[in-house]
Amino acid sequence: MNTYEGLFIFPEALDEEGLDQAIGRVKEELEKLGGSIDSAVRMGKKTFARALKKQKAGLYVNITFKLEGEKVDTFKSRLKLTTNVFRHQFVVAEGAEVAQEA
Amino acid sequence: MARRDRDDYKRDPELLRGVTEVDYKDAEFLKKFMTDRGKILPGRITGANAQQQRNIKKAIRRARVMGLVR
Repeated sequence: MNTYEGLFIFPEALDEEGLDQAIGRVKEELEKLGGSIDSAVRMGKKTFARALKKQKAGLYVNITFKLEGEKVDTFKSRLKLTTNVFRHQFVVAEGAEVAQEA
Repeated sequence: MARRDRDDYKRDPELLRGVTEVDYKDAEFLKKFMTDRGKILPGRITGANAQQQRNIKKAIRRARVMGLVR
């Protein structure tokens, strides 16, 4: 199990409830693959520094999760198929646990 | 023409003192190492050491993907 820090962008059209559902769907997909969410921090709506796919802004959510390394690719493809995540990026959370303890 | 002192170009030396990790989500910090056009400034101008410059470069490229910087 590796710990990843993922930054997800959801469409800005979503309201509070819609965002809840969208995060819930990401969580479901993760749990199907045997992963788990450690924390989900909502960073709010941000305007993009440049237009991405003709969109001007998005809702940013920073999710720290645990998942087997081999299943990350599957998770990415599942995200594309079943959720409305506009864009995502995962980084291996090195020292994340150490930082929490300190 | 008078030669300008090289250190005139250097950014704030305190900015990077002891920095070993750069968070790609901190767009305001990253913008200090970029031109207004969105180009990454070289280490000789930012005053970053080689390791810091690599970390900054990586962070800026990650931030670009997520639309945080130009």
